[in-house]
Amino acid sequence: MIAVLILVAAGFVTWLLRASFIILGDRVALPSFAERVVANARPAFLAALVASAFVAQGGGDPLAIPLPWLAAAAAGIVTSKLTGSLSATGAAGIATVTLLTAAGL
Amino acid sequence: MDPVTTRTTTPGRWHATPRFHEAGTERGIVRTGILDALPVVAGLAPLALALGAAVSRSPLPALTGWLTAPLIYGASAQFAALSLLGAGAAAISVLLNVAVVNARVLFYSAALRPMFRDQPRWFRFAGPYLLVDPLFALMGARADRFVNPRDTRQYYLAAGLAIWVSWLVMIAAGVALGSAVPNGVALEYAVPALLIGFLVPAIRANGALAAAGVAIAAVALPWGGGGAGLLVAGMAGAAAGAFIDRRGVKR
Repeated sequence: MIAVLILVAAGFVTWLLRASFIILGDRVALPSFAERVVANARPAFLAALVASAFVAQGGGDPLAIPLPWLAAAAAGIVTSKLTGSLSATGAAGIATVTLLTAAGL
Repeated sequence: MDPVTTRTTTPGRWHATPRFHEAGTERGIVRTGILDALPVVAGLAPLALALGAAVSRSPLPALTGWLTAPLIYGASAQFAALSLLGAGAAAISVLLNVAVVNARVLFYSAALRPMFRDQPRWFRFAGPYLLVDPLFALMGARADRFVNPRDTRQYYLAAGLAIWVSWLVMIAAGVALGSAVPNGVALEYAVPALLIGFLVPAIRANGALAAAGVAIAAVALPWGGGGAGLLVAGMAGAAAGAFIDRRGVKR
């Protein structure tokens, strides 16, 4: 029961973070630099999430990221540029990593 | 040709699609939102199943572990809460960890603020509950197509609820399957593959390129991993992008 209450509190904390600026709306004016920071949040955090997954795959060492993962990333980037398709990007990356891993690389 | 008016809607395709009002109907907006969510759901499936399997291995009751999904709704924070609660950590420790791991959503909230500006009060309070990484990415990718607050709301709810319902169901499936959840490199790579699919189209200008580059470099530093490292890396990247954008304006 206590664990559930802690989870409810954690959920509320998470909601507060998600809702903060949305609910405050125009009552909080951000400086122009902060507005530009926010505008760049999407590529920055997506890149950080991708990089975290790759570094974790290398056991925390960026130099130890498996070659199939790097090749899959390259295949995904090229496919995304060419097609703009989320599904095709995912399929290209997964196919590359599967094939190269099966090949023992 | 103007791509805005000459192509039909294709799920998972970010460019050259019609604006929603030109696509025709409210049903079309909802349908597009759901269709856009499908590749996201497919990409998240391995993660959700793994999370469900972790719930089944946790010393917590299965229902309590599963409740992390509807209550916290965010993979990293759910993993952190499961791990800490399973180890008998203090409540304050759980809350602080969840807050740190999820702190990046503050930026999402700030970035989506214009889309919520003219929305009804109920949506401004309830909508943020659904705000997770892939929905933030979808909203950014589709932003050009929203011509009024109603479009934005319909799309956000359609895509957001599709992801949310799928997430809860897939985690329940993972709990039921337990150690039978399959493992393999293809499944491990599914989430990064999805994120790359979101990231590449988001890099449209030098500022965004700098933001991504600096964030990646920051993660690669020795202190870069984990929830706090992810937050710092994202902030550093976004700040770098802002700096480059400022220089661009000066020119």
